[in-house]
Amino acid sequence: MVLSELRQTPHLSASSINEYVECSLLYKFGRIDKLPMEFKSDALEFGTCIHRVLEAYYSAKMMGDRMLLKDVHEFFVFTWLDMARGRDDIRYADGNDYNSLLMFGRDLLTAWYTKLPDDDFTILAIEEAFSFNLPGIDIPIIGAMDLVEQDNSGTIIITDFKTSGRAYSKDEVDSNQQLTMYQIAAKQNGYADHEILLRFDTLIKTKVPRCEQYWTTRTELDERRLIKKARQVWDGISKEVFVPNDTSWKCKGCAYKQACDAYLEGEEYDQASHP
Amino acid sequence: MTAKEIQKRNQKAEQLKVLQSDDGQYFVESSEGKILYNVIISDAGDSCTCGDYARNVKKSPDFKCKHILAVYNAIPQKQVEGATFLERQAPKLDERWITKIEGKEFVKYPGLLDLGHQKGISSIEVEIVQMPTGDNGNFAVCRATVMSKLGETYSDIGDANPSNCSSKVSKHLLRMASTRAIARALRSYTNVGMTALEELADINEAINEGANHEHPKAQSKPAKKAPSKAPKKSAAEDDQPKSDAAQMAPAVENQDAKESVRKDDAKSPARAGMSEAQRRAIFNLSRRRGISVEEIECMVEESYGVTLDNLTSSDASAFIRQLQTAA
Repeated sequence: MVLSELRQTPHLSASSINEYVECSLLYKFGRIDKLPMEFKSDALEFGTCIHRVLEAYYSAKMMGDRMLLKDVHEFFVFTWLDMARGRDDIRYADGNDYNSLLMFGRDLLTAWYTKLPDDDFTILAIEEAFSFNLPGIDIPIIGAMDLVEQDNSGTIIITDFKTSGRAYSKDEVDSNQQLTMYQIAAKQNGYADHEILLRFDTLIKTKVPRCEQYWTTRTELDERRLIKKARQVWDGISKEVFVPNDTSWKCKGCAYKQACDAYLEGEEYDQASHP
Repeated sequence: MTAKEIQKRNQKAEQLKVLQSDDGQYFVESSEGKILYNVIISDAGDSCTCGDYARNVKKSPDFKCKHILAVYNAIPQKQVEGATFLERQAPKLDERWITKIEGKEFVKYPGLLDLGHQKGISSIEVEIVQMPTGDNGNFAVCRATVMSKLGETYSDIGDANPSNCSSKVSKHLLRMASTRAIARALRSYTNVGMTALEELADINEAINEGANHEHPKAQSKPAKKAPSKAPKKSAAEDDQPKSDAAQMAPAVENQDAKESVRKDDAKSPARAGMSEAQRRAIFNLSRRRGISVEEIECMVEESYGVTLDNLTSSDASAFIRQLQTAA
């Protein structure tokens, strides 16, 4: 089953667990009520576009081809054009627009391409969908690993592609639960007897674009902590506990701001009035 | 700036405390005593990190804020104090816990505990693997697991029997095995390559016989001259029963060596060499933490007794975790 099919069924994922913990009302609006977002952020759309380019690059590499930088640029331009041109539901941050991101994307990918290490890891999978069950959670955990590689000694390297406005701190990398979930999934899906290393390939959207690789690992304790947290999240969802975190710095840019205000101010949220 | 303004600033400046950090560099305390502003006095011009200076210097390059004036006032009056900076306290093994026997250094158990607590121990658990009985030659084996406050666990075993303990502790074999196991687990956690004094078969014997109590991994240090032969030679030597080294070395270490002979090194994942991905992870983590390649080499040598290139896959895993928790 591919990820899009898996996503049709009730499930938890690393991001949904995180979302529930950060603002469970946001989780409800997006994942239970399935309210349409009031807007799409340019960062989200741009990140998706870059992600597709990297996916194409590694797909070609898996086939034994190497995309040249100009091919990468071409693919990006085509994808961004397809994704963003003419859309009025994308909310651009100050100073950004369709054209500026088109230019910036090329520079960002140039930074990534020139920084790519010349490794000969075997690509095992790209966008590898996974699904597994955990005791105490009635619905499966699903997700997809952006890139799964193996080196000559059998070590598995699981990579997640990221675009970010800034470099990551040590703690952000070492405690990121998405990577922990990938390790649990990899162990559940046949890689339990392998050494597993985790990595973020991060394209950093600073004025001068740059790219950083962050390697990390997870212990069994990290896995246990996340599993415990996932159980608590599931417990909250099952009991329909959805607490708005309306003092977060993220509220300002939240795509469910109107729905949240209506909910908090006592009105029954009318989905029809917010198509 | 008018003369009146300068006079007013001078009055305010007189109340401020001035500390000198370096030649031409000063810290001036704010009037509330909550902030230190960095003032630089030099031939090229004076500067201060306060908002008043930043605002006014654009209009008037010779502008002097009250903090700069405070330095000017304090210097002739010799009211400048030397600034002292608190050094970040890094865990350190106190020298009093290190003892030298025939030129070789050994760490004492309390020193390992002290260092462990400095780094942050969450728990130490000991499990009895084997009770000493007549049937097994009074051979006690314990496994100790040290858990750090960050959640990493370090585990190792220790053993004791009448032939690898001094006569004074031969009646307390289980406790001795426990102490040795904890010492070994703490050594892994605290990154101490020195053998613990308590691990030795007989301290008096060690003193008499000299310093052959190196960690087995250190013995198999990959001599650059003959890297392929060194480990095999070490294992073979350790496997010889009743050799001087075997008699003096802790029984657990002999056991490790025997195990390493029994296992086919190439086939065992734990004994397989570090993988390319692990190497990249190590260099990536060290770069992000500002640790130089030379420092990494030293850390590996100290912890595992081998060069970076000769790390096993399992040791590389442990080392990656160690780097992850490094500041």
